[in-house]
Formats: sequence, C-alpha cells, structure tokens
Amino acid sequence: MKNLKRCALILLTFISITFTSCDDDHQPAGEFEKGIFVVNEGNFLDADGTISHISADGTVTQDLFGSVNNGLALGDVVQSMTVDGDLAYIVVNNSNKIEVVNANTFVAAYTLIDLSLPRYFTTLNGKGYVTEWVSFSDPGRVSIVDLEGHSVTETITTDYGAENIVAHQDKLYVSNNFSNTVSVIDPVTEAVIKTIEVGSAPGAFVVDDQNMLWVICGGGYDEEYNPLNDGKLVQIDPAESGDASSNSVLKTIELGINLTPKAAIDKAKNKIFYYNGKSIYAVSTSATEAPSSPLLTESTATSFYGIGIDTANDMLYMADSKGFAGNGMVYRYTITGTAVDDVAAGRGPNGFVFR
Amino acid sequence: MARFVFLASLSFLVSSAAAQVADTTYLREVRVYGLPVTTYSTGSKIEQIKTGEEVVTLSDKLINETSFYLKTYGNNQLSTIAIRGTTASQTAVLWNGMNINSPTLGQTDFSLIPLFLFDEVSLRYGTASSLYGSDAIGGSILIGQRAAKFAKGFSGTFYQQVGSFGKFNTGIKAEYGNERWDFRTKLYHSFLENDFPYESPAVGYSKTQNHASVTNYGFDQQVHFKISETQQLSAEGMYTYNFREIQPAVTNDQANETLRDRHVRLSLNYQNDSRIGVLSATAGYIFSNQEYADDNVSTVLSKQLTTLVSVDKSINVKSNLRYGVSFSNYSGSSENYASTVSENRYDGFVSLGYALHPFWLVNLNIRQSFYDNHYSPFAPTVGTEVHVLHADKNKLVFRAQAARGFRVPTLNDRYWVPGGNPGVTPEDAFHIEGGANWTRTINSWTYTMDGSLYQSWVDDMIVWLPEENVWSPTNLQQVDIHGLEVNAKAALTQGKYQYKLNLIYSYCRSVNKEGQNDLHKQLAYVPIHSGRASATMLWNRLEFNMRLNVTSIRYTTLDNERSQALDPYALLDASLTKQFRIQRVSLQLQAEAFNLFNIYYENLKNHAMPGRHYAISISVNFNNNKQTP
Repeated sequence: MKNLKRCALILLTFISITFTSCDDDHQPAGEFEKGIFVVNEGNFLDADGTISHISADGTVTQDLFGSVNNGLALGDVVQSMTVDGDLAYIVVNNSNKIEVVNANTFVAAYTLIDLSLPRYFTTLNGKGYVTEWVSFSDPGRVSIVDLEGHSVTETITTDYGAENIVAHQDKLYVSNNFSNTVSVIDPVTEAVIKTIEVGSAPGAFVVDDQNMLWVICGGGYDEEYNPLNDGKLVQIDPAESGDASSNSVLKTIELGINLTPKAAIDKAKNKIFYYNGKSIYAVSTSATEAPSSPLLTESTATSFYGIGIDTANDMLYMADSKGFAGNGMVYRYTITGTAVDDVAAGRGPNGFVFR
Repeated sequence: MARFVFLASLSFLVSSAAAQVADTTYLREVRVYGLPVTTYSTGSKIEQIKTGEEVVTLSDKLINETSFYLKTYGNNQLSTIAIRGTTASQTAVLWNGMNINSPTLGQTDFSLIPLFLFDEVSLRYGTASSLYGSDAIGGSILIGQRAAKFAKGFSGTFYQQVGSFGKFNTGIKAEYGNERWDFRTKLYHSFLENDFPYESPAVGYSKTQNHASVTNYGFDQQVHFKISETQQLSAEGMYTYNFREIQPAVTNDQANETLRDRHVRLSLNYQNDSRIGVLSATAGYIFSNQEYADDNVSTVLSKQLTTLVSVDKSINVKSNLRYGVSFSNYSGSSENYASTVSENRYDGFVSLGYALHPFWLVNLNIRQSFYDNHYSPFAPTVGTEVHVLHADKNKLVFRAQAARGFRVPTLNDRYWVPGGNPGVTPEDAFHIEGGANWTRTINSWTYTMDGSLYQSWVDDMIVWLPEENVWSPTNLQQVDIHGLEVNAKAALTQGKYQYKLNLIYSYCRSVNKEGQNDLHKQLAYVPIHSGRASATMLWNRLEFNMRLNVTSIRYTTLDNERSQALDPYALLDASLTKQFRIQRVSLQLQAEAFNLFNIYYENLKNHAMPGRHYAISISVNFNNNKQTP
C-alpha cells in the first residue's frame, strides 16, 4: 500500500511538472531546482546522513530528503550526490544503495540497491557509472547502471578502493583510493584500457582550462602508520589515455603533507584549492611547487571535511564536520580567501553540489 | 567468633541492612561465613539487584530495574552505560575486586555479562575512585559470587526460557559440598534469532529485522576450601563466548558485520583472619579476544594480570581500618597498535571508618594510583551518615559524601595508530552528594523514601577529534553534572495478599562546559528525565507484576538538535509468576510480556527495538542441603 501511495505521489509530481512547464517556460521545475546542496554523510552507523539546501536568498533547508518525503531517512553514510537532468543520484555508502530523487522537488523516485559500498556516481551517454569499494580486501569496481531499467548491467573491476569517477573526453577516470592508481575506462568496450600510477590515496578530480585532468592524492603511510607526507597533485594528459604504454602524467606537484584527497577548481579553471586540517591552500595550475603557506586558516573551525567552489560566482565553500559531535558548518569565502559568512549544515558535511 | 560477628562497632546496623538487601541500603558490612568484609562506603548510595536464576544479560536487568540509561545498539546488541550523566568509560565494573573494563577501549559491554553466572550485583552510585580505582566517576558496578555455604548436600537448578523472535535460553546450576568444601558449577546457553518486525519512520514501511541474531554461552566453576575456621581459599574460573550479527541501521539491508567475544576470567583468593586483621589476597587473570568481521577479520586481544592484597582491621569498637596494595599488568594487541602494548599499574589505598557517636559515622578513604610511570590524581573520599531516627518502625538517615575520581586513559587513547596520544592525561572528577532515607512502618504499611542530590565536575575529559586528517584524543572537555534521584516505595500486607509499589525518578543534567564547540548543551545519549514504576501483587505464591519504563528525549548530537534526537518512550511490561513446592523441589513458572503498548523506540539512532513480545520460562530447583541459609 505504501509503495502504491508513493508511486501515486511521484506520478502526481510528474504531471504537475509537465503542466507547469507547458504554462510558463520560466516557472521553476521545483522548489529546489536551483541552489547549493550540502552532502552531510552523517555519523557512521547512525544512518543520519542528509542533504541540506541553501537557496539563493540564503534560506537553509536541513534534511531536504526527509522533509520532502515524510521523514524518510537517506541512510548510513551519504557519500555523494550527482545531478543529471531532472534526477539527482544520492550515493549512500554503508546502506549499499543509490537513492534517486527528482532533482527539482527532491521527491523520492527510485532506489538502486545491492551495491557494495558505493562511493561516487556519474553519467555518460545515457548510462550511469558508480564506483564501489566492494570491500576493504577486494579490488574496487565500477558498476554500469541502466538508467531506464534501474539495474546494474555490467561491472568493471579497477583497483582497491574505487573512489571518485569523472567522465572526460569520452573516457571515464576512476581514482583508486586504497591504491596509487587511476583507472581509465573506455565506455564503448566497457573495459579498463589503462592504469595510470599517480600517488598514494588518489581522490578527487578537477579539469583545468587546458582540459587537462588533475587528481589529488592524499599520501601514504609507512609500516608503523606514520604519514609519509607525500600527498600530491598529479596532472594527467587525457590525449595519452588511449595508449596503455605512453606516459599520461604531465606534471606532479608535491604537497609535502598527507591530506584528505579532496579539491576544487575556480571559475577560471587555473587555480586548484585543497585543504588540510583548518587550513586552505590554493595552487596555480602553472605552478611546479606547492604554496609554502595557506591561503587562510580558519581558527574557529574544528577540521575541514569537504570543499567546493560555486563557479557561478567563484565562491569557495568549506565544510567543517566539527568532529561529528554535532551538526557541521559551512564556511563561505571569496575566491581570494575573504570570509563571507557561515551556514549551518547537517552532520558530517563532506561535499557540495552547485546548481 | 565474637570478633567475626561484631567486627565493627558499626555492625549494629547490619541486621537491619541485611533485612532489606534488595533495597537501597547503606550497609557497611556484608556478612560472609566467618570472614567479614567492611565496605567503607558510608555516605554513598548503594543498591543490590537480584540476580535470580534467570538467563538474562546484565544490560537488560539494569534497564528493567534501575534508572541507569544504557545505550543499546539494537536488541541484545552492544550495550554501554551512562550512570548519572557520565560516559560509558566512567563506570568501573569490578569482578572479585578487579576492574574488568576493557583495557583497550576502557568500557564494558553489558550485553556480554550473563547474570546467570553471577550471584551478586551491587550498584554504587557516585564517584568512588578511592575504593575502586580508575573509571569510578559516575558509579561502580560490583559483580561477584556470594560466599560459600560450606554445608553438606547438593542443590541444583534448571532453567529454560522460550520467547518471541527465536529466544531460547537454558541454564543449569549445581552446588555441592560439605563442611570444608564448596563446589559450584554453572552453565548457560542463550540464543536469539532477533527477527522482530518493526515500522520505523525512517524507512516508512514495515520491515523484519535481519542480521541481528545472538548466541551466547559460558560456564563458571568455583571451588571454595575452608582451610580452618579462620582461613579460606577460593578459586573461580569463568569462560564466556558471545557471537552476534551486528544489528544494522534500519536503512541498511546488506549487513555482514559480526562480533565474536571470548573471555576467560580466573581468580584465586585467600583470606585469613588473624591478629593483624582480615587478610585478603587475590590473584586474577583476565583474557579477552574480540574478533570483528566484515569482509576481513580484525582481532583485538587483551590480557590482564592483577594481584590485590588488603588487610581489614577492627582497631577498637569505634574504628575500622583497611589498607592494601594492588598491582596490575595490562597488555593489548591489535592491528592498530604498532606492537603489543603492555603496562603496569600500582595502587595503594587506605580506608578508615569511624563512629563519632553510635549514630554518627564517618569514613575516609584515600588511594594513589600509578600507571606507566605516571601518577593518577590522588583520590580521597570523605563520607558521613547520621541516623536521626532509629526506631524499628521509623528510621531516618542523612548521608553526605565528597570524592575525587579519575580515569586513566585507555591503551587506545595512548597507542592507537594513527592518532593515539601518549601525552593524554587522566580524566579528573570532583563529586559531592547528599541524601536521605526514611523508612516508616504503620500497621500493615511500610513506606520507604530515598532521595539524593549530586553535583560533579569532570575535567580533562578525553575527546577524539580530527586533527589534520587523523583523529586524535585530547583532554579537551569539561562537563558539569547535577541531578536528583528519588525512590519511593510502599508495601501493604493484608492477610494472604501483599501489594508493592515502587517508583523511581531521576533527573540528570550533564552539561558541556568546555570543549571545541556546542557549550552548555546536554551530552549525547543522556536522558534528562527517566522513571520506573512497578506494581506487584502477591497471593499464595502467585505474583503479578507490572512495570513501566519512561525515558525522556535523548539527544544524539552535542548541539542538541531536536530533529536528530531520539523520541521519549514508555514501555509497559507485565509478568505472572507461580511457584510450587513439592518437598525438596521448588518449581517456578513464569509468563512475561514486554512492550505491551507495542511502541517503536530506539536507543541508538536508527536502530530498531522490538515491539510487543513474550516469553515463558520454567525453573526447577532441587535442594538437599542440610543447612539452608
């Protein structure tokens, strides 16, 4: 019965969207069509991950999914959210699922289940691609999702800890976070065509103004788990990605620290931002060395846990998890590092989506 | 023998205290067969809970019978305690005088302690590091075995319970002995499939709990030998095995995490009553092995070797003195330690009980602990009791206590790789409390009122926070705790009928005063209000009992966000018990119903607890002892 009701609700929503778009082209497709979405992963095992929404006028809606969908929970460790067309794909890591919602209204659409510790999602040519850790002892993989049939059609094994995924120039790039590689996947043959050695614990990708791909690596540990302080930014030439024998790495910037491998690029696409603890760093894509001092250090923060740049206005967003003791906070800065304001978030904010 | 019977001048209270064992008592001497134990707890609130003969975890028993809050990670899952607004690590749990909190994690999982294997559980409220050492900040829980009977004969018990969601609990006990020997054997097995249905608002439809089954079994063997009228030797060995599927959050369907715990506990105790006093020497060994498995298995091992020697001496009719030392070696190994970690701890302690007046008692305890070449905070306790009214049918006692307590940082706090901080120092608490107990008998009515007010300041509380990209502990937090506890009882005897009413209310504010953020807020998972009510009717060996458990909202985050808090709940349970006695055999049949309102509730965010459920049990006891106490 409940499912029937939900279907009816979804149907009604679609009908209303159709009608409104017929009436007036400028009418928003939904209350949450625009704005900034904060991904709050929640406390591990508490299943209290949420999405917060910040509208252009500064209105904040906490737990957007729950408030739209009768208090339903997204699940345990809400890792990431990706918008494609009118749908948003919310990857829930420890619930092993992707919750798909209408991106404009946030009404629940369907759930992709039976994934294995999924992390990030992207789409390319009408197909969905989700990275999965699988486990801490098996190699990670990418599962190909039939977005019409709502099911996984194929899986491609990459390397340990398949993490971020980006579609760039008709190839898919996967950073393997428990390893030191980036896997290049040809979406036509659905196979890994190249494995690029980067640095230990690769994570987020950004694309610069030369269409070069960058991956940030968190750095490794010695046998006694002391940090090796070998985090780095690695620039990859996508033109070399089709050839398994050629060197794809154009340049490496050693960061001299171990850090969370998350990064963002500014509107001009020539400056990469990353962080460590409470400090934010900015490095030019033309640089060969890491900056010696941070752009800023936020003394009131506990420890940053996510970064994003709204390329509409070049505003820098920093997420502070506040040690997961309570809800987190989002700090906003201009691209030059001047504080703008701060906004309350949910528990454990780890990333942003800008629409 | 006279020395044994009246060891302390304080023993004029013993008879009255013994008469109300299940009540809140302030007894300072527990009678054991020949060898007295003075508790040096004047001024503090103490409760004994009935361990009975049932196969039940200490966690469930404490939830049902006390106002303590236990954070349970699902039904019969990991269960940690918060006594008087403190954290799970700030309660000392002692077995035969040895602290059995895990040296790696610093706390006890109360769902792993099977009450069937223990005879006695004593709850000591408030800070008492002077008596119990590290961790005794919010309270202390003493578990152990009653003293040997040294009576010729045999007694045995068989217990079987079946209940909803695949509950199947079995226990067997036997005791046999003579004037010199006392042997006791206990075995139990417990299984719960735990496939209860629930409807959580977070998932929006009815579900059946999956992956939450629990298997526990274990045994305990005791041998007591009376060497002479003044000397006794006791040995105890216990093994417990616990395996559980870790109950996932309501939103999670593919859980595969399991936890397997094995504990070996051995102790040897020698007691000798001589001119110097009652000498008690204990040697203990505790081994624990915990395997957490998801796709991989990770194992944490810990070993603890403790020796404890004390002398308890009655100096004169007014004063008692106890002094002693203890030595412990802890070692732990885990994938997250660089190598096996080992350290020694030494304690020296002295206690003095003194009667200023037959009705005015004072108590002074001091303890100094050393661990791994560090001093723990010096821990004194001063307590007093004044017996204002002392008629048989009208008793009024006022009590007061001030104490300092501490908690030594755990091995994880100091040696965890990455992030462990060897520089982290012990948590330091200062505690004061006062209370009164009034018992009045009028005709066939007996009333008891007990009230306590307390205030604690806990400083240097250890908090793990992300520094750079590694979590690390620091002595960051300061917490102010104050609260109130009221316990009211009434009992009426009318011919063959007996009625009992018991009300417990506790109020607790545990407020974050210093820390990274969210100041002046209630600590997570500490209810401000909690209450228990129980009504019992007895007639002709037939007992009907109803029990209500009311627990207020619990915040799950330190910012006290209402939308993330757990809703208050009221659970109503009922039981019907009938006892039969046929010569030397007594038989008890019991039917129980839990959560009669069929309420959906949680003790950990998004972890379901069962709705209405039932259990029936049978207990058969055979006793052929020549002498029964």
